[in-house]
Amino acid sequence: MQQDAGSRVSSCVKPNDPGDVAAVCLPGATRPLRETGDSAEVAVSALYQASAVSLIRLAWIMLGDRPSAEDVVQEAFCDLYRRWDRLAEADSALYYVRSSVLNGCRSLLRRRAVRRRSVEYELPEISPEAVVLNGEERVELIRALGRLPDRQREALVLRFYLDLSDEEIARVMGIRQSTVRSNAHRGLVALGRVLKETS
Amino acid sequence: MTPIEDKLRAAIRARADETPAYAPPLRLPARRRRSFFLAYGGGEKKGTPAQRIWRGWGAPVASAIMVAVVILASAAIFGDRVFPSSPARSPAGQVTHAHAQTPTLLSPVYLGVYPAGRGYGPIASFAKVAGQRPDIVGYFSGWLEPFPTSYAQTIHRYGAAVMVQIDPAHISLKGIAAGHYDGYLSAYAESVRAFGHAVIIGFGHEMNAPWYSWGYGHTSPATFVAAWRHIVELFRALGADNVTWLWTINADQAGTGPLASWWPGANYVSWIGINGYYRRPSDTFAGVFGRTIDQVRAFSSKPVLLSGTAIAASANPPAKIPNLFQGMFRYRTLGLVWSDQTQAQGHGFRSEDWRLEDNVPAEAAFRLSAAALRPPRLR
Repeated sequence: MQQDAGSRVSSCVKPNDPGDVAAVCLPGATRPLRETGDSAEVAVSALYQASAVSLIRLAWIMLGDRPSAEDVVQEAFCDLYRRWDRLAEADSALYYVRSSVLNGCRSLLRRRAVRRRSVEYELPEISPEAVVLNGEERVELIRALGRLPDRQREALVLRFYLDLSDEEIARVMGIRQSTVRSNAHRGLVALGRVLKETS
Repeated sequence: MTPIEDKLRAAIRARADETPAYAPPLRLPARRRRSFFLAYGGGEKKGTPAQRIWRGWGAPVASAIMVAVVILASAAIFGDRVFPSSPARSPAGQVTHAHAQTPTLLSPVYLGVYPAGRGYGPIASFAKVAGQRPDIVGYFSGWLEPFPTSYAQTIHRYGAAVMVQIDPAHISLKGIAAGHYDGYLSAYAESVRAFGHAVIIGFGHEMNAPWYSWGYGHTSPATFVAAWRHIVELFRALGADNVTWLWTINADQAGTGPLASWWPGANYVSWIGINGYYRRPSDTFAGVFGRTIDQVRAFSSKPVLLSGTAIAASANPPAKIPNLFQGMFRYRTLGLVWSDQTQAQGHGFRSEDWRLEDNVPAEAAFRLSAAALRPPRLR
C-alpha cells in the first residue's frame, strides 16, 4: 500500500482516530467531484488511504474475521469507484462507503446464519489471550453486541467506534435520527442486562 | 455518559485493536481503464480494424504479455536469490520452505526488522517509514522463555516470518550440550512444529564477540558448537523441520575471535547471519560487512543474511543507507534486518538512536533504497 497514493496522503492516515478523516484528505473535497474528472482513481485511493484502516476495523468488529473484513471494505471501495460519477458531493463518498461496508457485513452475517441453518449466528472465535488481556467483561460485551439486532449493533458501533453523531449515523444507515436514538438506547439496555447477569 | 457506555466504548476499541492497523493495497476494477481507451479513439466503430482490435482486447492482451515477460525475466535474473539453496543438497530445505510460506516470490532480497517492541504498532511504524512491509520480524528471547505461538501467528498473518534469537544468558552451554535443558528445548521444538510455518532461529548470537556470557572469552568455541548441534539435533528428532537455523556472528572487528572456531558445520546451519553497524561517518559496507563476508566464504557457501544492522544517527544515515543497500546487493546476500531500536531496547549497543523514525532524511533514503531494490509486491 505504501507504493502508490500512499506518499501523497500518508499524513492523513490516523489509525487511532477512526472517525472523521476524509474531509481534509480528499483532494477534491471542497469541489463537486465531477470536476476531478479522470482523477477518480486518485480520489478513491486517497479516501481509501485515509479511511481503510478504520473501516476494516469496523468490519472486523462486526464480523470477527480479518479476511472477510478486508474483502468487504475492498468491495465497498470498488463499488464507490464504479459509481463515482453519480455522487453529487465529495463528502457523500465517505458516507457511501461506510454504508456499503455495513451492508456488506450484514449480508455476510446473513449468509453465515443461513449456512449454519440457525437464525442466531455463532459468534466469531475470541482468542483465550484476548480474554485474559481484555477482561472477561469486555469479551462478554462484544459477544452480546454480536447478538443484538443489526440496527442496534450498527448504531452502537458507529457511535462508539467511529464517534459519529446521531445525525451522521442516520445518514450512514439511511434511517431517521429518532430511530437511531431508539435503537442505540435499546441496544444499551440489552447490553446492561447482560453485564448484570455476568457480574 | 453512563458506565455502560464507557464500558462498551472501551470494549469496542479493545476489540478493534486486536486486528492490525493496516489496510492492504486497493485493487480497483478495470472498467475505467477501458473507457480511457475509448476516450482517445472516439466511438467504437471508428478507426481501422487493427485499431478497433487494439482498443477492444489487443491492448489488454499486449499488456498481459509484457507483464508475463517481466515476471519471467525477473525469475530468471533473481531466481537463485529467491531460492538460495536447493532443498535437495542441504538441510536448508527449510529455506525454501520459508520462501514458500511468505509472499515474496518476486523479492530479490528480504527486508527484516527488529521492531522497537512487541505487537503490531512498531512493525507497522517501520513498514510505513520503509515503504515496505518486512518479510522477517525478529526479537530476542530469554532462556526458558517459551515459543510465543500467538505472536508468531500474528506475524505470519502479516505476511512475515518470525526470527527468534535465543540467548542462553548465564546458562551453562555444557549443560545444554549434556541435555540438562532438554525439557525446555523439547517443549520449544514441539510448539514450533505445531506452529507449522517458517521460523528462523538463532542461538547465542554474536558468540564471536566478547560481550556475552556465551561468547568469546567466556565459553569455549567447542562448547558452543556442541550446544548448537545438540539443539539442532533435538529439534530435528522432534520433527520441527520448519526451522531455518541462523548462525549469527558479529561482524569481525577489534576484539572478536576467529570466526571459523564457532562454525557448527554445514549440516547444522541454514543461513549465516552477520550483525554489523555503521557507527562512524567513515564506515562503508566493505569495512562493516565486506571483510567478514570474505572470511565466512573461506569456510562456507551458505546464504548470508545481514541479520542485524543500522546506521547511527551520528554516522550520516542518508548517505550510508544507499551504501548499505548497494553492498547488500553486490555481495549477493539474502537481505538485511534493520535494528529499529534505541539504545534503551538495544542489545549491547552503545548509546545511540538507531531508529529510522523521526529522522526524515534517513526515512526518505531508506524508502528510496528499499523501493529500488524490489518491485512492488504482487498480491
